Amino acid sequence: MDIHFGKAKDQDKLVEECFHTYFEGLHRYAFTILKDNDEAKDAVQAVFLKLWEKRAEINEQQSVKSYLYTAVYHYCLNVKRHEKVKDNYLAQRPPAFEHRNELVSKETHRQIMEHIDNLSPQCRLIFSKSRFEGRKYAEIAADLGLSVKTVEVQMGKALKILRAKLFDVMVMILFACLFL
Amino acid sequence: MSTAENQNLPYELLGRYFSGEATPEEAMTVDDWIREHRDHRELYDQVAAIWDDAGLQQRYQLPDRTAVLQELKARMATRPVVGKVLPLGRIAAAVALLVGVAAILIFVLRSHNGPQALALVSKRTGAAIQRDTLPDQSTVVLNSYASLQYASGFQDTVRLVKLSGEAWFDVTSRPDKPFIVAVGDIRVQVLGTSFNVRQSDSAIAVMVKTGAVKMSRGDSSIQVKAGQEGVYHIARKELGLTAGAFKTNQLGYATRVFNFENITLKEIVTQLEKAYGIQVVFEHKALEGCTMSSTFENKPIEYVFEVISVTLNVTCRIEKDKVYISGAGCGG
Repeated sequence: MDIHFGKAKDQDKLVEECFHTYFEGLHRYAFTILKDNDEAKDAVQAVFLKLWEKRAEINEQQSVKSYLYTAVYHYCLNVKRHEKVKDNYLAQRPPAFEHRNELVSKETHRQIMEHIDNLSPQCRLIFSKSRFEGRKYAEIAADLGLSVKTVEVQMGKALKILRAKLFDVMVMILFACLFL
Repeated sequence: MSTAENQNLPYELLGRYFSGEATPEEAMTVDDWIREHRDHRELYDQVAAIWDDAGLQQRYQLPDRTAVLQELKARMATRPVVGKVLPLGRIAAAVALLVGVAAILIFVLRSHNGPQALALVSKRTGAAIQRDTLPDQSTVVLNSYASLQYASGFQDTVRLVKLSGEAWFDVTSRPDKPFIVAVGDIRVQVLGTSFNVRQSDSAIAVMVKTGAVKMSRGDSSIQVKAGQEGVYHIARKELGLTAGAFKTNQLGYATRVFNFENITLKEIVTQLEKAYGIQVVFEHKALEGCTMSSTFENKPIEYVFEVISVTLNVTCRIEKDKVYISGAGCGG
């Protein structure tokens, strides 16, 4: 359901339509790169503002959807590059406040960590490096002397096993409750 | 959900996606896949929950789309843009804030043993301003009719002060111990910088002179850098940056840095009185209306009045903390 800019259509309306169609996906995508809800929102807004400014120039044939995803991607990478050189006022955010995940129950977290511990050693190491240390796939691969593809496969495996274990457990608890 | 269906799940793609490795094309593939089927959405949510819950960092939260769109429209309409953040107004955010505040309170109360540790230091000003040094050697200047509270000794993991009214802060850098000003609805977090916080009935304004601070309310926040002013509009519950130039004189009471531009002597001395704790007496009422322009950077009071007397052709006589201005008057 790509939206294309047509001359006949009202450009202003189109930008808004695009917003409604793609905001969620773009914001979610920006979050995967930036790991910060507010920064992700700023990124998506910046991209829509750019789209707004360029609405007259954009090629009729060009898919706006792919323009938006690509623009968000580059914007986020740029933010990350800047963050690296930013002085440590806010980069070194202490865990005391906003970055603590207050809503996760200790029990859920403990369960997940237990299942992560039970993954095969290589799988656990790769998953931990990506999830907890925020390392890039390429870095993990170089560190461990593996191919990027192997990292990718192990990450997929970790998620698959964790989902099966955690959500099967939940289904079982649910059933247990129903029959009690 | 059947096992066969699970086999087809794009776990590797999701792994790349959550790790922040996905290319724009892959992100589009993920989103198309989510939309393809209701079950896909459910499975996506499960994997996302595992990913989020495993870490103790910030969880993903979709902002209020309508609020974001409104904000976007406002920004489209009024270029150039100022950084402006609308609060999400979400229950989850409120809960998170409450939990956070409760956690701080519990921590503050718990981490102190013994009666003297729980002591709160309270300061309050009347008409006269008050200069003070905090336990961490940061300095604070409380403007008229303001109050400040903090735990004596600053022994917690954060340096938390509670302000109402207006105050200037020059904070010593302690990267391990953030300095937080709680004022009204919002909090201002810094690691080391100088800035002014002014709370009025309609707004809370933070002017940053050096460094940068973060103003936040719930989980919306803005960064205010040196030379900028961040404003929280109390009624609209909106955080934003003001577009105007940095108002040096606003901070004059604390910094004694003034940039007077063609304003009356009456206005000038009102600011000087506050900053230097003096009283100015006009021996000729007509002198109040004289206007002048000048810049003073934390100069001794004698110097300031020397400049005034030369510029306006008046006589300034300083006696202790009183200054008498007399003379024929300006312009002649």
